[in-house]
Amino acid sequence: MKLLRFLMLLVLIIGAFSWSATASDRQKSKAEKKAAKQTKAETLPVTTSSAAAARYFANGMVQYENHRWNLALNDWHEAINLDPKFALAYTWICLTTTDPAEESSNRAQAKATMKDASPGEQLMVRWMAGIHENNYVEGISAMNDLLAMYPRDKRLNFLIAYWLYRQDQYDLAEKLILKALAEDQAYATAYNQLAYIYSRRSDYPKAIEAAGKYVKLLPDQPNPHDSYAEMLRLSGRFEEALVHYRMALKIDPTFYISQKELGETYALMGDGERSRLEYGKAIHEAPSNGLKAEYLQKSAMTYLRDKQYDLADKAFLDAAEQAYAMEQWVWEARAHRIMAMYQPDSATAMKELDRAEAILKARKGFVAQTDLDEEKARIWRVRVERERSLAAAHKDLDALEEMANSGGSVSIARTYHGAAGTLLVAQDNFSEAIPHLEEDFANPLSMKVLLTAYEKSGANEQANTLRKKLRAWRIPGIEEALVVPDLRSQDGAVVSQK
Amino acid sequence: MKMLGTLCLLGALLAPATCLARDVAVITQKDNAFSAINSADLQKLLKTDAPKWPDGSKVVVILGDPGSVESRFLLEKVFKVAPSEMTAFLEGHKDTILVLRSDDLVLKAVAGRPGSIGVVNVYSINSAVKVLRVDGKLPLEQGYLLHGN
Repeated sequence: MKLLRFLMLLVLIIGAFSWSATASDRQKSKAEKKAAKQTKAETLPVTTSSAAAARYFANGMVQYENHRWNLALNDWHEAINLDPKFALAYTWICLTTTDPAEESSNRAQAKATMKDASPGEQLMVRWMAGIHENNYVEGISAMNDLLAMYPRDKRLNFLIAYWLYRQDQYDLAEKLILKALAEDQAYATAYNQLAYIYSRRSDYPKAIEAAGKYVKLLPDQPNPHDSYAEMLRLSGRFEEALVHYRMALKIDPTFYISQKELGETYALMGDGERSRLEYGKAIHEAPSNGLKAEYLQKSAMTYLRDKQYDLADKAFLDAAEQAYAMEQWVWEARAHRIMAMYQPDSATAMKELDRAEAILKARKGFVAQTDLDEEKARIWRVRVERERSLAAAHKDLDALEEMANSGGSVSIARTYHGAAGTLLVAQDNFSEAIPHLEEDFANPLSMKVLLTAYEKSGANEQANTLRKKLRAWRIPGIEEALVVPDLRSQDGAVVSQK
Repeated sequence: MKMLGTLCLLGALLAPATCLARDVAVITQKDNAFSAINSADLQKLLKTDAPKWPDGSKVVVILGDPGSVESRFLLEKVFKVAPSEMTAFLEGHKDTILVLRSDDLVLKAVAGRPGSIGVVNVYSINSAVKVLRVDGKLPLEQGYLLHGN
């Protein structure tokens, strides 16, 4: 049997299943024809004992490149049903799913089945396992070994670039994307990636240009229009962004992300009522309860921008109840934590935080520990900010620091630094606060406190740059809603809440 | 579609950056017996004319572009050299510090040179080299010395 399986695997490896050119039912674009020129030896093999599973896997990769995550996951689920020893399919489920339990069980399967896969695939499993198990050095090392093994695999370059981008490694990500484009100048998804890299550097003209190329290559797909719209929105061109979000929805009315983005865009434009209308449609269209719970809170946030706090309370309580009904416990806790963030009265805020923490405590063991810990860290940060005595705030901060030091995620570490910096600013210790706050570099609340620290310590150049960035911040979120509109209306006058 | 947010359950903290975090890896040849170094020993390496490993073997330090974040981290954080003094510092340590142009070259040089030590962006490392713990910590661990913005 072993020999038989080995022979079957060998046939499939050598056969045709390099991952970039196997889906026979795909549209044969110029890009794909060119991609086919890459020889088998230049692309990562895909080892499976089932030809049908290989087709599902390949189709899932195409869906992934088009950012249709849920469709990609569906294909990979089919693939592992057909071949329960399909290590690469398990790996890609882990790299894509937002469900921690699914990630964990598939990671175990990927590791258990990797011995039958090719050396390149084994490196991919090691990369995924390393970065998901806080073993970054081994994971990154495997990732670069894999790249060295298949330097001309455009898809591999793209996928790794995408991961590096998410680690804020924009220079390295750009290098790999340009390598992918050198292999295939019509590799559409690479332009999408490039647009996001440029946008992170606030180079919006280049971001819009790259997203424009993405649209040109795939005019009948919704995601290119969605990305193009986002680049327009980031550069402040809201009306044009709305046009392209609508175009994405016209192409595919089920493309719920663009529906949500319409809500986001109106929210940023200050049109709360229209925003809630669009979010309402997105909630209806959302394919999972987790997304529904998230969008409900986005809708509630619009009342905060309008400073309608009573309505915000009502909307967040409703969002919490619905999250409870959908068994989205972290989102339920989050609604209470957010309520604590804007309550004028500290005692009320602390009650909401107690409630949020109690929800998490009751669900220990039912929700992935990482998710519980990350939300708990955020709750503790708000505690640090809302405590009425420094001693109590320090106690909360010590607990948060302990969590960050005991192998917590990057997100927990940033939350700790944001809290530590805020507390130091409250004590007028600006020089020590600055490096902490700089760690929490993408959180408008921390950025606002950092602005104060820069100003108070005479770092005028940094203060001016940061103020400019904050005022131009167009990424919707609770921290943004609490900070940016006020900052704009105060015309730069920033006062620390502490 | 969001390239970023879709993969994060509560992803607001991973949004676009105003400045970037960076971890620098201290690397050595894979066969090197040492897996860790403390910052005091790292500092001593360049304070003497003939730096040596604790077992007495010679050390060559290999840096990338002196203007790179990685080299600046090491020189500023460990060796306490101000940016304005870097050129003179490197000139004065020609025998013990080899300066190359990129992480790729540093990785190749360290992998092929016994006793050498190099610094690269942690996201560039591969299995040809060993990443040393510095003061007991690896890159990307909370509290790692060679981390900064």
